[in-house]
Amino acid sequence: MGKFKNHIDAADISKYREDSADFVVVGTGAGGGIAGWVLTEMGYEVIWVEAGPYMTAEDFRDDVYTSMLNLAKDAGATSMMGRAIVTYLQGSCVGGSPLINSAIVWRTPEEVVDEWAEKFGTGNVINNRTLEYAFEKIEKLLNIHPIEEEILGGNNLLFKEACEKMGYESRVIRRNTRGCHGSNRCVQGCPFKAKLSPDVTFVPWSLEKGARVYSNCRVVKIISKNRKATGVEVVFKERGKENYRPVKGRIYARRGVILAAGAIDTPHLIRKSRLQGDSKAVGKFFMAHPGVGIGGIFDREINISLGPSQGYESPHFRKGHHFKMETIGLPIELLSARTPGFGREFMKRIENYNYVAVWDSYVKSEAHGQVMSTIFGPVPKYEPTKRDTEILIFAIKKMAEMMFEVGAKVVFPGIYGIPEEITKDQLNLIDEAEPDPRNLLLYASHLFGGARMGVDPRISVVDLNFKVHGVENLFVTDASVFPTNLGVNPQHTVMAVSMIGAERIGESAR
Amino acid sequence: MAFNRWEKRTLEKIVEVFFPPGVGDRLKRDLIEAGTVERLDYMISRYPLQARLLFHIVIWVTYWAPIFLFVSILPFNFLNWEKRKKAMEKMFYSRIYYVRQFANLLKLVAAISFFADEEARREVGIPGIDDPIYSKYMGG
Repeated sequence: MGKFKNHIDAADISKYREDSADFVVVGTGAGGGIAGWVLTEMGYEVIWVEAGPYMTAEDFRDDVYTSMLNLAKDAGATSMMGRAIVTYLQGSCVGGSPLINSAIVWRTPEEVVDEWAEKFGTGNVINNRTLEYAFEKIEKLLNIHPIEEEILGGNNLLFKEACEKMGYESRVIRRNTRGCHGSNRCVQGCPFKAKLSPDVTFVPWSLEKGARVYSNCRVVKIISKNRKATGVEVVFKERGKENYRPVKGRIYARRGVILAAGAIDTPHLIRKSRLQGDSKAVGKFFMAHPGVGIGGIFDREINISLGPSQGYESPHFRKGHHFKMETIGLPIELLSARTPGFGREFMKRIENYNYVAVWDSYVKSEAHGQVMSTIFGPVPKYEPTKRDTEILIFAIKKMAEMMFEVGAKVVFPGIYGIPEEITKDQLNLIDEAEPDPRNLLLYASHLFGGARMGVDPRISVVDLNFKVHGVENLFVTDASVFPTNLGVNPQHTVMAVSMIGAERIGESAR
Repeated sequence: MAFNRWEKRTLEKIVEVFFPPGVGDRLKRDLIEAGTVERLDYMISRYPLQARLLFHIVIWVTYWAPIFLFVSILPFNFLNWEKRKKAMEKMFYSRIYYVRQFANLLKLVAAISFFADEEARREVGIPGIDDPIYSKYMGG
């Protein structure tokens, strides 16, 4: 029994079960959601398999605690290992990460598309013409538009004012929303159904046309015969219930298995299923956009709870210094963790929540990591380079300057070795920070690679038809196929590349 | 691999370092009333095995930290608030990266569990989803 027509909640399945379709799509996020929809529109029978539950706006709560438990992979306890710990958050629910991101839309920068074509030979498939076609289609479908001025809220407007005063290029963020209430709850799942993530668009549109989705259903292995993928082995799971016994099942794919489980789980599944084919690069060339955030306390009320979580951005330093700055309306829980102090002193700062602004920045990192497969599951190994760290420290300084320019009393730079709270005349202390990633509190919200596309199987995993080199009927359509990282928010590129991929897969299966 | 009574007691003492009862001007919610430790216990039980193991280590490290960091000859649970604060402060500014990260992690999970309580959120002035302020802010 599911919530919708053709939705099967695997938590209700109590004995071994088999099912089959033309295509089995693993993952319902930005990549898998659109791939399944494209194939359904082409007339194929599609089954999605999603590890997380199918939550709707009625299920969403105000707090981060509940959203972590219900919507995030491993209840949010996810990090990349290296000398420095870089935390990341991935959606694990129908809709995937777009359900818990800020819906930021950026077209792929032309220089990135050119680099992919030049170094990886992807130009025949992913080029400015094919992307333009996909972007236009997606932008219409998902009502992509700049945020309305009237709902921007204090945090975003303050950032705008700071950019104007500093003379930095800036703009209102474009997003896939309709009827946004500016409730600053993008990361908790939009309670107003305003965010047009795959759980309210591609998935239900396709369910109406006969596609099926299994939620709470984890793929443990890709089934294959003679280097040809024929389906997936799954575990139907019951979340949060004690003493449950996992029930196994199989879902067969007549024409292909499409992996869209993200840059960490996709390469892990390929490797775990021993379906590397001719490729020597599964799990390698894993990339991210490591980021940092800073907070500032102001005399005037900012009211961070009003306005979209991320509403304004500055690409001013994107080309020259490889970083981008944005606002981020951190919920109280996450902001508290970054607020200095203990006891009364700490609580007083938190009580000033409405006087705090928070902005963040991420770098187009040059670091390459890898996804390792361990007995615990996939473990991403990744560490920003010295250059990346220097850029992030520079970004912190720029954001601190901006905050002081618009009247911040104090700023929390979040750098070890520097006072937790600095005033305007202490800004130069940031220059003394050691460029060691362990001195920063790092997170990464965008993950790429691990199954990248290319013509050479020594350095790539999928070919130009999105098919794993040397394995029939096994395809990948998510951010793991990206040959490099982007330097901009990737959701739109993931959707566009997956749309191109799904159309090619569908055409070749006819 | 749930927390035992000793670990829960330590968790409670840790959360109390950040959110001691009765000291806030507006934030009056008590961490016990807010169900913070029970919630933390449940959240961590949902973490994957390696993260749960890590948490047991973090609690163990924090319990003995006052001794290793020369704050006291007694472990964490036997100290008064000031001394516990001092031990936690030393963890936050430790030269050892992982000790610093442990302290950050504790602050993060303590805040997530504490502010999962609606009353605590209201006390710091965060409007609920039903607050009429959001209908005013509706965009197109």
